[in-house]
Amino acid sequence: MAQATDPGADGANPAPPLLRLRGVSVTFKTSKGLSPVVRGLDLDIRAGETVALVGESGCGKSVTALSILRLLPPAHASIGGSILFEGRDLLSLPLKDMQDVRGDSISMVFQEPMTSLNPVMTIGEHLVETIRQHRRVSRAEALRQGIELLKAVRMPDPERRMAEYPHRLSGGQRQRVMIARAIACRPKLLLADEPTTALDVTVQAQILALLRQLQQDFGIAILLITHDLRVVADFADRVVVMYAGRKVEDTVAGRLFGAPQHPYTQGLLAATPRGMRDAAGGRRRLREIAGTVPDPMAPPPGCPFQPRCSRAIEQCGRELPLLGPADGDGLVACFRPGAAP
Amino acid sequence: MGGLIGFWRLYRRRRMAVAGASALLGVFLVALLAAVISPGDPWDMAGRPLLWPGQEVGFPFGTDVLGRDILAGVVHGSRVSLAIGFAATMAALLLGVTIGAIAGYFGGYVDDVLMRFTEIVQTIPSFLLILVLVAIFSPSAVNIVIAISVSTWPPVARLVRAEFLSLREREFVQACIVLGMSRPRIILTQVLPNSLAPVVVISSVMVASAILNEASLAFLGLGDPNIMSWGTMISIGRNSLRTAWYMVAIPGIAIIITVMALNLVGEGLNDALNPRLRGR
Repeated sequence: MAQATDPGADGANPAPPLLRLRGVSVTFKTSKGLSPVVRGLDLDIRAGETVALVGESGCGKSVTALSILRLLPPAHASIGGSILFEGRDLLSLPLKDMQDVRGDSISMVFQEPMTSLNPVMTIGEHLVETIRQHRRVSRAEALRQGIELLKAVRMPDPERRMAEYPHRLSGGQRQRVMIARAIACRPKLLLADEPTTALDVTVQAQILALLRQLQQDFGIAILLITHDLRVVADFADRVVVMYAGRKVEDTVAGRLFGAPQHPYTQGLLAATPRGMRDAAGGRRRLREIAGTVPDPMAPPPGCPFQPRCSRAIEQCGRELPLLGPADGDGLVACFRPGAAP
Repeated sequence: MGGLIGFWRLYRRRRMAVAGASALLGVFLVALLAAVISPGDPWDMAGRPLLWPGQEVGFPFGTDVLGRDILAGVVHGSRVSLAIGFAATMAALLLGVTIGAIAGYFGGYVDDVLMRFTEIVQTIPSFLLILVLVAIFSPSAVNIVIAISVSTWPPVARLVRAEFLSLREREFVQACIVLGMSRPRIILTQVLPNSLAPVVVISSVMVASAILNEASLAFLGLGDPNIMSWGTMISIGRNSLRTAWYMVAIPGIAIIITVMALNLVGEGLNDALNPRLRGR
């Protein structure tokens, strides 16, 4: 586990990671010109590991997940770099092979469970078609497996649910069905794009517990995309913080919360309500990060976070800080990393 | 099954829609039982020519200029009118749904090319196009069906395209791509069933207009000369319109009843299938 959680120690671990992104850039073609949304991202996910990708809206975290499965429309987005999954570059795979990877080796759960199910199909039909997409089994066998899947995602009364239409299910139940579909073919990697954002807080906790349970039962690696740091704290092994399309910090989850290195990470943490944990001083005011995310088409010179950073020095406005080993563990892209002043 | 029962519950709320459905059912029954109601060939000269309705016991609707039984004509003509109406609509749906689905799902220049083509066809007055096509090829039943479908598919294509444009962005389609489904499979099994409600509504009106088109062709003398349709009967009676108007009026009423019934059914389907009107 120590190896798996150390992003800097690639050479020390002989087993290649399950997923390896190298220099991935995503550029959107807009009417105003090219807009680079992800810039040279490196990311490794090992088998069975949970990596959280965090950052503000528009930092490129969802786009990263979509480009792993090649879901971005090629007419509007170009992807550079390499995305190796079990040694194969997904970006150069023929579409037919890519369709075999989707849903079988890598699957995805979306944010919005209310509209992710086809309104004219029953839950059973959804599961049967998902299973039969990648496995040559009879309808009867697929139905049996479908009921097992609903049991695995803790759906109450699974036999009866199979015959029901999506509109009869609550948001949490629909997300369970979506998770059941995603794990139907025992994928090695699950991309979870804000899977709990659209749900009630109590349901959020249930869905996260479910994902954690399934990960332990089936050994699925999870890339969790979220802007909610509270979700990250008790779920992820490793956290990657993105800002303006770049990775700014990459470290073990525990360390991120104990000793965040990048001023942006510190800002994110300060802006997260932590309830009873700092009850010592009574009410604590949440601090927002001043300013806004830079326009991807006109980024500031130097460090993209520099205009919003309280610690910026003259060098920050000139040079782009590169990702380097942080104090102790992990990686950070900052000229003046370390504890907040 | 539950869906069908729910649909009927919504449908029967409109009395006119139920009336239309009953009338249509009646026309279907007449077509089905044509050989029972009036056995024999409707072209047979069965009695004295130009008998007015009710003038002679055996001929409740009278006879035409050559002594053919008008009741037999109306009864057997219902088969022809319904068959041409439904066949032409099916063919137009096949064309329109295919073109609309491809244009709407793929978008981009595929959409541009197909939609410009659709608009070109749509700018040609449809009855004129039917007339020209039937005049060029021989006026047989099959050619009439082809001509009607070739000139009436554009509205279907545009309707299906609009449905697909909005449906393809829905998250359940994304979810299917993520699960590894191929595009033809997504179009056929996921998007198409969701886009069919408005197609069902438009198709009942299309059957009605196809029946009218066939009748208009026959009236102009471009109907299939070998089959007795309502249009054929009107064209036969046209010359003696002033002296024996019943020869035109009776098949005319049959057309009106059928077309009205189809339109009422279409309206009822629209109300029952439109989710925005549900619960009213």
